[in-house]
Amino acid sequence: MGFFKETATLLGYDEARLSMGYSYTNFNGEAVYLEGVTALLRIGSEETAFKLKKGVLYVRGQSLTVSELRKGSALVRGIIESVDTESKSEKTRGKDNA
Amino acid sequence: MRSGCVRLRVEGYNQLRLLNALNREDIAVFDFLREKSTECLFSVSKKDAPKTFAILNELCYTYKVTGDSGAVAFLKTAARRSGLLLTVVLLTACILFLRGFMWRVEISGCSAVPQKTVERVLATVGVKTGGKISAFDARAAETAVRGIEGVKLASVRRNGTTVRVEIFESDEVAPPLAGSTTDILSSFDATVTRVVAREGTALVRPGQHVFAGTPLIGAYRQNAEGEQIPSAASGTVYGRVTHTVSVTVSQDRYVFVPVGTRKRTLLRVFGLTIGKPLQAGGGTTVESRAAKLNVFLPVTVIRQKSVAYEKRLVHESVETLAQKEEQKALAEFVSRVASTGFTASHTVRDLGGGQFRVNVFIEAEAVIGGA
Repeated sequence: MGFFKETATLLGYDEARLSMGYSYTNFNGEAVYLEGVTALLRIGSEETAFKLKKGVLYVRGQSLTVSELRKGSALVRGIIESVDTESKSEKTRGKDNA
Repeated sequence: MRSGCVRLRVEGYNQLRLLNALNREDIAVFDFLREKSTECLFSVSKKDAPKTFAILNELCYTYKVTGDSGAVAFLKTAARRSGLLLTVVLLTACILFLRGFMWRVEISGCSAVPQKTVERVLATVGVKTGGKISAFDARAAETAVRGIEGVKLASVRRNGTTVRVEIFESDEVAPPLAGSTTDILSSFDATVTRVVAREGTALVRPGQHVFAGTPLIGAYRQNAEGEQIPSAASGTVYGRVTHTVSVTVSQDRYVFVPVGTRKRTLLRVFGLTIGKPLQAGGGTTVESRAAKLNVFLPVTVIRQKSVAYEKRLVHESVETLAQKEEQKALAEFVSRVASTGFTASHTVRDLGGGQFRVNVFIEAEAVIGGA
């Protein structure tokens, strides 16, 4: 059974939904491999942003570099602090409101 | 740099636009590095390079290829160092070629047999400086060296380009017995024990006391009429010989005891010595050995060993001293006179002032005349 098929079965999702979305793997906080990215929105040493089919994926940390960029996938290296779909400003706004 | 990739330096704003344009064309970008806001570096695979250049030109970016990898790049780098590469190749070839020859032949154990004789014999079987290692045959060399007169055993071994020959010489062989045209005389004062006359006429009997110089075997024979007919005198006469040695010894004496050793290696190049040599004197002796480092290089290696001695007072008992003198006299007597069945004894007399007179008496059966 393929990886996506098996995972989709576990989650109760449709396999197509799972494979056509986005996913990422964080290797020990030293590198993160992203799949499902469509374009590069921002490159910076502290924040790199990727466009998804729906939304944006932010990789935050220090000394970030884009080691590999292919169609649909990317490898970011550096000190990976977080990977999420919320921007900094949205986070800050959220905290202020709280 | 990754192998099979081309490294590009691109000048221009909006680097994201470029990366996304490459991404849309399914061109993989590796090791992206933003150096300045208007300059970045990245690598693309060689097969995508033409497409990348087309995109860069279309988007009006200024770019430069900074690095290459793969066999072509290696060859280009090598071509810039062609002189060095050629030298390395030539030197390697020379070393490999020279390893096929013998460059040193070391011969040890020669004292009676001249070294030149051994070298000449070895050369006949191809063992010589400059000889081919492929022609080296240890067994043939050993057989050839053993054929030299005076050589009992020989060992020939090769270690790299050095051949080591070790020789064991024959013990001295007594010359063949030859008759004497004059009478055989006694060398010692002795009491005759045995007479073996091969030629000539025995003039003494066992039990007879003789003095040094007494004829033992006459160089003649007697016929039936009793006439003396000259002939050679040959044979051996044995007799009981007495030997006495007197020595004055002292219980206290000074001896030099080694207390420290130092080693040093020096180099001599074109007559100039590199390194500080060890100094002798003040109770220190220095022993030096020099050897050429290599057949080709004018470099001599000098190995020095210095031993420092200290003068110490030693006290020995009279009996120990007397035993030592007895052993010494016995060894000297045995080496000088071929003898069997010897007995030794000593007496000690106190001379006063720590001095003693040791008298050693040796009695042995020895050859007193003939051979």
